[in-house]
Formats: sequence, structure tokens, C-alpha cells
Amino acid sequence: MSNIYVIGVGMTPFGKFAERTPDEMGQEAVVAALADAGIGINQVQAAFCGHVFQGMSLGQRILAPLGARGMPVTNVENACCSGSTALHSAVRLLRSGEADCALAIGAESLTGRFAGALSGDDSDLETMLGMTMPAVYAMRAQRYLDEYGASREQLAAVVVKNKANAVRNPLAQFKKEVSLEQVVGSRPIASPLHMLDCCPVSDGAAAVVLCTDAALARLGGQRRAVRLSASVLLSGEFDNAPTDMTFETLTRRAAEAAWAQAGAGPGDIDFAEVHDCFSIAEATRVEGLGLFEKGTYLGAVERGEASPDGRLPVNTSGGLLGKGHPLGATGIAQVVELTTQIRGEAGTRQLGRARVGVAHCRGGKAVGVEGTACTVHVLGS
Amino acid sequence: MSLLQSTWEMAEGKPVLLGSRCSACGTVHFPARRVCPACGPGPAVKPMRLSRRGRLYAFTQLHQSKPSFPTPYYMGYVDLPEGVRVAARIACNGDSTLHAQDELELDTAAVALDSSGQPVVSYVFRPAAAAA
Repeated sequence: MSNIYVIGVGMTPFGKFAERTPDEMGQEAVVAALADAGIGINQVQAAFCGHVFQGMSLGQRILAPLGARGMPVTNVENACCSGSTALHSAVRLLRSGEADCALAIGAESLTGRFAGALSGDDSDLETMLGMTMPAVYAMRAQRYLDEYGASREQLAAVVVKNKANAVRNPLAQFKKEVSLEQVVGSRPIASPLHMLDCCPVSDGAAAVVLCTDAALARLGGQRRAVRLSASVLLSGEFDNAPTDMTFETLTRRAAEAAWAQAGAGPGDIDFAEVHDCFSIAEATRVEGLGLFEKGTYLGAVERGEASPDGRLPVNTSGGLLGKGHPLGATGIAQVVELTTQIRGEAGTRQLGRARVGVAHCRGGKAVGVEGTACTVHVLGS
Repeated sequence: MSLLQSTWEMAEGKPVLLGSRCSACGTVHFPARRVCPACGPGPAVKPMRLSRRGRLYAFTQLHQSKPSFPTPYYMGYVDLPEGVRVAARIACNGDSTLHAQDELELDTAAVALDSSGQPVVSYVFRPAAAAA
């Protein structure tokens, strides 16, 4: 089977852009990704577009005006994994041999879409009772802090780290650092989580161009190509029995499948982009991935181990907390960050050692299914 | 009848949750299922009433929600003796304080406002000592 490479990346600034459409933001990201790859749109043979709330045929709305000539375009919804599922779908197509160059796009416009907190689907029983996404993560946080003896301030340290990382990312939503006191003093949302523990409402888009060995030889651009060595998508299983909500078994299963594909393990990972939709989520993600031992991450953050100069930097882009979380764009934007770091093109936030990186997304909820989808991608070699 | 109102009923003046149990593997579900998620299609799944008491696994006080849910209010996960974790509103008013592992009892209360602003009544759990 051919190797798969990322040969072009592009993304828009993330933030609140009420005047921008997802179509136009998606086009900006695609144009940037194609220019980065140094190819034209008609060298791309297929496209997958991830989004959650943007209506029908977003991928075609983005690509047809850019001169796409009938290539198959598939629109993908998989909650917070929509973008990473679009990426996974493109990888699968390339691995099948049916195409050798494909686009993965994610775009989302959320400003003005939500009154109050994000919840599961309106048809969900728990949503009808008043459950929200912040409430779900708040309860995880409560158990995690209780069971591992971690403090509210240690949880806030995740936010302080990611907001500081975002200041060094020109495309991030947040431009200012915050202090521990500002995090714990921000407006309460769902105890113990406060406003700054929660990712913001965001607009934005991201795109990557992927290809095989054969296309890489044909298209050129080898110098900046980054190998993608694992792409895994798993779905959550129904289980309404009492379980340990401080540990992500779905993330662990997806990670183990990814390590097997990549021929690597947690010890080979230099840096990670993980789905920090809430401060507590970063802890349960990296522990689920096996990058840190269960119950130890918040202490590690406090000691600087996950900072850019630490032993395993997490969310150098700013993560969802600092960079923003336009749902469909998030999974693609993580791979933009991994690619940019591995190429050594990350500017003021460039890591000293960024040879192998992992991207993780997890999202969605339904009664009896704690996380509906989970993706893990490994880049670099 | 809405999905919410189909998940519980009154029995001898008290609310009770309507679950189901797989005849093959014995797994208990809430809300009631036609197919056992542990076994897949095949085995018969029978309705059953669940215990009215359980233990609080985790809880949170919400200060922000959708407009139809006046804040603040509590939600929690309650573990029932049948081996089912139920997400529910936790009625906790006055100066009573919630703790993980608290014993709770099923009751009813208004949990939301409908489109005409009228209260929507549902099952809730409340601290057992405070239950009527």
C-alpha cells in the first residue's frame, strides 16, 4: 500500500466573523492549500467536506465556484469529528487506489447560531431534561478532581497554557494570555467549569491536500511533503451501565489502532493536538491516548511538561480553547498545525523537536453513548 | 406523548422510570429499548420498572442553558441497583448540599418551559432524606 502524504495545508483565521459565509471561508482555505501544494484544482480527484450545521452540499458550494470539474465531493457530518472524518475518508480513498490526490475540507459558521450552551440533538432525552455539553464535561471534571486529588487551579493551568500558545498563532481566535485568577474568576457555566474552561463559539475553515507516492512523484513538492502514517475512525458503543467517566476507553481503542498502523507508540510522539473542547477534556484525551498516565496530566501541566518547551507539548496551536472551535474545521486545523510544525514553518511557536505528532478528535453524545466518534491521526516519521 | 413523558409513569402516587431488560443477557436499559444494544436484534426485550432509589455518581450546577431551561439548576448521573446510570435533573433547593454517593429518590418537578411558557413536568431525583 502506498504511503499517504500531506502536501498542502491552508486555513482561515478562526474567530467571530458574522459577515463571512462557510462557503467563502472554505474557498479561502482550499485556495491556500492548493497554492501551498503548488497544484491546480483539477489535479485533485476527489474531495470530502466536514461540517455540522451548514446545510446541504457545502463541499460543492465551496468547490464548484473554484473551477472543480465534476470530481466526486462527499459531505461529512460526524459531530466534532466531522473534519477529521473528512480527512479519514480521503485517506481511505487514496489507500483504496481509486484516486491518488484528494482534498479534505472543514468549514463552519457558528456565530449567532446558539442561544445559551451547546447541547446534544433536540430529540435526545437528556437534552430535553436540560443536559448541555458543558454539563457533561463538568461532571467528568468533578469526578476527575475528586478521584485524583487535583485542584481547580491545576485545571485552570490547561487554559492558561493554551491561551498563551494561541498568542503565538496568528490565525487563533484569542490574542491575549489569561491568568489562573482570570480563569477561576470568570463567569460560572456548569460547576466546576467557568467560562474560560470552555472553548468559544467560532467561525473558520481549513483544508489539506493529500496524495500517494505516485502522485507525489508526478506533482513534485517532495521537499515539504509530510507523511501521514495512521488514520483511525472509531464509533462509540452503547453502554448505559455505570462506568469510570474519568477515562476515555474510546480514545484508548482508537489510539491503539493508530499505533499499530503507524508502527509507533506513545513514546515516539513529540507533540500532540488534542480535542480540548473543555479544560478537563485535554486531560482525559492525552491520558486516553496513553501520552500521560491516568490521573497525572494536570500535575504535569503545572510542571510545564505539556508546554512548548516541555517534554511533550500539547496544543501548540492554542487548541480549541485558544485557537477556537469551528466544529467542522477543527479536525483539519489540527493537521494543519502538525504539518506546519513538522515542516519547521511554525514561526514564533516552532518547536525544537517536532518530528512525529498525533492529532485526536472526539465528539458527539447520545443517551447511552458517551462519545459518538473518535479519530486519531499520526503525522511525521 | 413526547419521548420524555413516555419514559416514566405514576404508580400508587409515585413516579417510576420505565426501562427494559434483555431476556438473553439480562442487561437493563433506560429508557426502554426494543433491541438490546449488548446483543443486537434477536433476543426478546421486556419492559420493566426501575428502582426508585439510586446513588449520585456526579453532579453539576448549571448557570447557563437554553432559554427554555431557567437557571440555575442541577443535573447529575444516578446509578440504580439494576446496573443502569441515568442522567437526570437533581432537585436540590434551600440549603441542602449534594455529594457524590448521596442516596437519591425519584420524584417529579418542573424541569423546563414549553413553547407557550408553561412548565414541563418530569421525573427528577432528590436527596432521599428530603423526599416526601
